[in-house]
Amino acid sequence: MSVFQSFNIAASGLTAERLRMDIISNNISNVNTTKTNSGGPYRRQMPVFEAVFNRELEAQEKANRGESFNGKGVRVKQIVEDESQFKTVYDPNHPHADENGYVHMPNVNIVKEMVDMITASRSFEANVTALSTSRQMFNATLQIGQG
Amino acid sequence: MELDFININDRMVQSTQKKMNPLPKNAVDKAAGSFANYLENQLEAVREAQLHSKNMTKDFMMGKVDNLHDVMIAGEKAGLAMKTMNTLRKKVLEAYREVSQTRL
Repeated sequence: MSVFQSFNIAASGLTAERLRMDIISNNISNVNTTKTNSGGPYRRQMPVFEAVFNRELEAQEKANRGESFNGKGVRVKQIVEDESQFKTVYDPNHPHADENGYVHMPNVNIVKEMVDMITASRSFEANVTALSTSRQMFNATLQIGQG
Repeated sequence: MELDFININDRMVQSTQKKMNPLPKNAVDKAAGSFANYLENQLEAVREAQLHSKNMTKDFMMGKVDNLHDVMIAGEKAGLAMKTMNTLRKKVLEAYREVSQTRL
């Protein structure tokens, strides 16, 4: 039902922000992981968001004529790895230390992750606010002609 | 004067009838049918939304749904559909009472 389109759009935002939060949690929990399955230390991951549109021909034509809106929210297109350099720490007793005694640590910056987390949390809240406002508008519509 | 007036009136009626789309023969029946159909469809939609919400809640409890917000939104949609339905019902009943209480 198109009356609930704003609900669905907000829901897509909530889903995307939740996935972002999952990725951030994963980054934080792997801040000290020096070995992964692919070899080498853990690489910081980040989500790439993408706008979703209704690709159906009819919806596209309607949108082109300005009769309706064919936006369907957001989705996570892919999860990419941060290619920045690993931190090196001198720790000769570490099992993953190289011949010079240096250990490659993940390129996760905990401060950056915390800031990203706040962003994700606030974006989630913004989507919830959009949702409640849509509901309020719906309720206000139902009050037309009452009293 | 009198005749003229009637003629003018007739002509006006004719012209407005020409402007308006001619009504189909059983327009009233069809309209009543369509509203009943509309109401029925609405009822079905409400029922579906409620069922969907119920299933979502069950699936969430069983760990099949990952997103709690999808469950909440399904419940919200069902609630709003129900409310819309109720508002429409109220309106229809109001109109019916209005007509039934008409003094002859």
